[in-house]
Amino acid sequence: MEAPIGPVIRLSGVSKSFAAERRGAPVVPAVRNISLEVAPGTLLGLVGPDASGKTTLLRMLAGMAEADSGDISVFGKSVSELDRSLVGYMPQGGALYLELSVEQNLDLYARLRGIDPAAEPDRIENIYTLTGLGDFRGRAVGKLSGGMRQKLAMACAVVAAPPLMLLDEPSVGVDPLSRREIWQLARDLSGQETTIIWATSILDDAEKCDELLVLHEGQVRYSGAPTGLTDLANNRVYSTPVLAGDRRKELARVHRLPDTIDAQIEGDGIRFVNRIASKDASPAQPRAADGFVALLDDGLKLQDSRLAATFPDRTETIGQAGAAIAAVGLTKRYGSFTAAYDVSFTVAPGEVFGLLGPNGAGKSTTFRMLCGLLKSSDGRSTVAGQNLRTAGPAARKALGYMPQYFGLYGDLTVAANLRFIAGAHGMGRKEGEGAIDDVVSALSLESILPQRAGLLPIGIKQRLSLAAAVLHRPEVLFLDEPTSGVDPIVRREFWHHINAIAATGVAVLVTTHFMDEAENCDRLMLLNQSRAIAQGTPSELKKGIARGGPEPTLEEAFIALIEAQRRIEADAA
Amino acid sequence: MMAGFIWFARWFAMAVKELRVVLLDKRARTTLIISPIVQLLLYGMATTLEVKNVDVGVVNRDNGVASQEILSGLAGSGSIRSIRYYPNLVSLSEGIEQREVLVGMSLPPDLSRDVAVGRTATVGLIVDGRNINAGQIVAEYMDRITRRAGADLRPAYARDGPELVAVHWYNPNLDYRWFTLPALIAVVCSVLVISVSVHTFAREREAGTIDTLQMLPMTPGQKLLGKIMPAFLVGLFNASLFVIIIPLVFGVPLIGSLVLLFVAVVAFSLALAGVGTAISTVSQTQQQAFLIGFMVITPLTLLAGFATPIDNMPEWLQSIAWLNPLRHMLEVSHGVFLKDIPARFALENIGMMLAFAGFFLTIAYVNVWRRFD
Amino acid sequence: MSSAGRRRAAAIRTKEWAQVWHDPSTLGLVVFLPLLLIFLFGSALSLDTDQTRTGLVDRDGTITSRDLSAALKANRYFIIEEASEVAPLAQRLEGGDVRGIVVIPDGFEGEVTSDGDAQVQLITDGTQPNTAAFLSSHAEGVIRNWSASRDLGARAAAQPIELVTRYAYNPGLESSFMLVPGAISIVMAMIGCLLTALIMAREYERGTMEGILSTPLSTGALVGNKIVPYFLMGLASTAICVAVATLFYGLPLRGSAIALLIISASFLYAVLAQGLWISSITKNQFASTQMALLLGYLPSLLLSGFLFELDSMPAAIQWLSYLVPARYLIPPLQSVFLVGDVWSIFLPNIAVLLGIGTFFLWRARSAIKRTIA
Repeated sequence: MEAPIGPVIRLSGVSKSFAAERRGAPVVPAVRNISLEVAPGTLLGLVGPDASGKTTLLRMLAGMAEADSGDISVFGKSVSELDRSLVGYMPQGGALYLELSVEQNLDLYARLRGIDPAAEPDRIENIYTLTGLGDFRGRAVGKLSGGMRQKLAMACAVVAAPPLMLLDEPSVGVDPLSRREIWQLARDLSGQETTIIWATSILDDAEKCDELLVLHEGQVRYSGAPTGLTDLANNRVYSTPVLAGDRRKELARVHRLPDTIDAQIEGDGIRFVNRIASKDASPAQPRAADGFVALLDDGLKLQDSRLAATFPDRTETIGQAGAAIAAVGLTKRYGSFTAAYDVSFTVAPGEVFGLLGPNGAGKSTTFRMLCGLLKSSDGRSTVAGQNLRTAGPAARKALGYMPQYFGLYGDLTVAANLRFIAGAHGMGRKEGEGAIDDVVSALSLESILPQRAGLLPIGIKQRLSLAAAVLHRPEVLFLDEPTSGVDPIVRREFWHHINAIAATGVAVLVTTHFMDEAENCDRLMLLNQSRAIAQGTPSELKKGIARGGPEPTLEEAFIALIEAQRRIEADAA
Repeated sequence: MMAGFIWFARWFAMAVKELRVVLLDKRARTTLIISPIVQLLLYGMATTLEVKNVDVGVVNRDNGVASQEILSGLAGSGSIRSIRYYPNLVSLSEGIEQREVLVGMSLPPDLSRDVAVGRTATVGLIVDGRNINAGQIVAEYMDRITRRAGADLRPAYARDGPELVAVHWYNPNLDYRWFTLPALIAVVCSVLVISVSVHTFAREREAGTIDTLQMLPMTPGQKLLGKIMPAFLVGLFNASLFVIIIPLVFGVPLIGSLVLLFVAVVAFSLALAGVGTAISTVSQTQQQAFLIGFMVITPLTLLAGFATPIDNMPEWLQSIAWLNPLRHMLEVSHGVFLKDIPARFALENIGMMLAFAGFFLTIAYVNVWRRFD
Repeated sequence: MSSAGRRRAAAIRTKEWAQVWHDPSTLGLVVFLPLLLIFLFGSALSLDTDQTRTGLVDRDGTITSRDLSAALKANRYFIIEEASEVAPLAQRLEGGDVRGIVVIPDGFEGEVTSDGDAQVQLITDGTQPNTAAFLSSHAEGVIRNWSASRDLGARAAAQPIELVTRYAYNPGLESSFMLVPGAISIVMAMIGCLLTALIMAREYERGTMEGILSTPLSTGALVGNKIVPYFLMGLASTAICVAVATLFYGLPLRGSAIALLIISASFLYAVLAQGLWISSITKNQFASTQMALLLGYLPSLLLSGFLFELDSMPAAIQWLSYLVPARYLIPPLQSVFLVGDVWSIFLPNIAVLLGIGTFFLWRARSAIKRTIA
């Protein structure tokens, strides 16, 4: 192939709108007047909140969507004449056949992309080595963990080592270890001249790119090096120490300050981004995420959680004896395979308890046993004093549940989904409408009420899922990866609600991959390879691995603990 | 009181959601409401056992009055569209083979002479055996025509012995539509009800919403009764529509009790929705559910007594067909439309349909309840 | 085609096969449906009305009337239930337990011996017009024969003209010879239309279409290769049908196997293309199945001419039937089994089928856009 001369991608004045759901309604603009050039060998990060136009832009580049106006050229030719063998496109979610095996999927896409697996066994073997999927060739994709699925999806997209890779959210729903591996995979499969466009809502990922394009409502808000984005938050980022125990109250206080754009718990302090320079707090090192929130700052103050305000006051239960959630020796075996072994913990009312661990560590299994969705092989569990497996349907009223994957009805409108959930909880028409109005206004879902839920962007789907989970104001809340796939602004908002809901006396059990989020939890349990390997407050976990040097981040603690367990197992073997 | 209200609210939410899911898609809505009516009109007109517009081939080697009498008999028959003449038997056989004509008649050279001298003359008839159903009926028409021709030529010899005077009760002209249209209530609606109900739980499994459903505080009964509503209502709605259209548009008499018919339709819709839902609870995907549903509905339809009479089936199969809800619906439908059957007869059939519904709804209930494993 | 192109084509086929193997319901449809239908059409369903329960009231009670009763009882078409009064039998008729009542009136013997207008009455259950018609023609035949055998003297040749009927290709009047080709058409229509309608819609529903379309594979190659496994499975099903029908039900195959293959393949081509078209416009499994039933299954059952005579239907419906692929399958299929290789029938029908297939394929291809949005 001839080396492409000039930019690989050139967009000038590209716009695209979608027809409205209902006839007569105005069209919905997805991408507005974007012009762009991408040089060969660039790793371009495409960042933006949900519905910002990232997916539409990638689809247009892959020839999967047509622009309404403007010109797109790829490799010097109009995209309508695109040679698809030069492009590796990974759609969101990966377009894998879940019932087929890893090998069948990889073979399919390899051959579709012009590679004969029989003729090039080394290339395929190399991919199995790089992805770590070699031992799972025969496993159905539907039974893989999220991280493995994403690796496979990426491998299927770029198996032919194309000069242009278009990757839509390849690291969504993936733990930090797997995320590193996915980055490594992209690097290993690309050469000097390979151009990669990487859409993501995770700003840590964005920092690793050569160039960044920040989209918001279909328009380019920033284009340039990641450092330039970080620089937008220069002299705006601060941290203030707090005494342990009061961290969430302090966070709420910082949020209430008029000039706060964003704030989060980090270590024993609050780290926040301010609109103006502050004299009271000590400056902190800005990151890309800080620049992102500063860039997209709407100028408004974060309101007190109106979602939490709809909850009854259960604060008197805080500090009382008796756990809201209790797991004792929960174990799940499938034949010779143990998915969770001897997991024990308790969560008190008003407490936020985090389950951490890499994909496939047993978090979801534990979660599902607690919910009663899965029968435990051993051990006991209670939620609000009841065993959900045996207590009958009424006991589930105490629980709000937000599943890891979108669990609402894609064909129905947002309003119809919420009405169904309200009715399912036995609310009458008036009571239901009231509850729906509360969550809808608290989570700003008004504008999407008539839209079909299945067509919403992933972050808005998550918001809707949260609304559905708390509609009946449960005393226990289970959140399975609530922030996977959402941008930093929505994540901040989510935690703002979660913390405030916990403050009313609700026990919250949450799983997450994001270590900065885990800082919000009162206590954490770290699972790896089906076992609990550590339990305690975030500070305790960090101190456990600190060896005199500077205080490690939670992510470092996480990785160190997992590697320590791997060493122990290797020694035992 | 309050508990009852909450139970109702939960069930209602489930039912409304299910109805929305089924009726939201415009194409599905069209197929569920427009298509049954189109089918009724189409098949109501299409299905007939009468044979009309027959093409008849003739090899005529007789120039006398007898052949003329027969040919004018053929020409005067309302069932015959055209008469084609062939020079000889070989070309007539070819004509039959090529499907130019359904039957071929060979009039021998000495036909008129035989008739004149009082010898029994023999006319040959070849029928295309590829379609023996129509063939047999046309052969009978031909028999009648030749006999009448013989009788006209030699009235003295034309005594048939005792005459059979047939009276057809309930359907004096044996109008086949009077049979078909009431039967279509069962046939068309069963396909609809099954094809809607098999998707219920399989769809939730495939879409990944089944966990959400399980985590909601609803009993298996509420879920099940909510789930069957769309299929049940689709069945009820279309069947009721048919009951209105059939007498008004097609003039089929409806002389029996509408209440009985309505109760039967309710039992029938429940029975089919029960089977479909039971299938759905054991299927992993929609495709699986649909294919199983299809493999169940096919024998049910064919053994209902619509395509062929139940009386013609082997004895052992008739006992199996006794379990078939379609068959019972057909009996009530024909009975109420044409016969005004006594309630006792109808209730026997309705009871069987309810038993069938109960059996499959129980299976579905147990599956929904056990799903927590 | 380039080697990369061939590889892509093979990759799609491999994937489809893997999905077929993964889902036992697909294979169930391919193997079980043909067996079920051939069994039903071969053993269970029959248009040959025999052994009809019939009531008999002999009001005359003479030697002559008892002689006629005996003739009726001896006939294989009737199971006679005798009673002294009409009323109890009429009740059984209402309940559907007997399908007709023969009444020999008082004074029958006198009329017969005096050559008067002797009559025999027949009351039938008109709700079953098929059975009623057969019943009256059988009863008529019995009476005629009885009468002829009585008058062996002077009027032995009671008929001046006698019709001698021969059923070409099916002298034994086996109705299964007619129904089995129909069953084959349903099997093929279902596998062709229904399965393909599901498989394409599934790709859209699960989002895998976006992945496939982003590769260099052309939409034509995608469509063409995706249907290959279903095409082969349809042929396998047909082979099962033919094997069972010829081995166990004595259906002759008088034409050549190659002709049968060509006919089946052309039909499959047409219905597969129809299924693809359905799923490419609906992009939704539920709507696809509804349309496949409406456009594939029901017309194949009702408008193909194997159960109901197309020529007897109203003109508008006959015109509509020209759009039904099965209409072009039944005539060649019946001929290849019962007659032989009648290419003059095969070729025009095959040509139409290929035309229909190509039309739907063309529509499907333009409906499957390269772009997702």
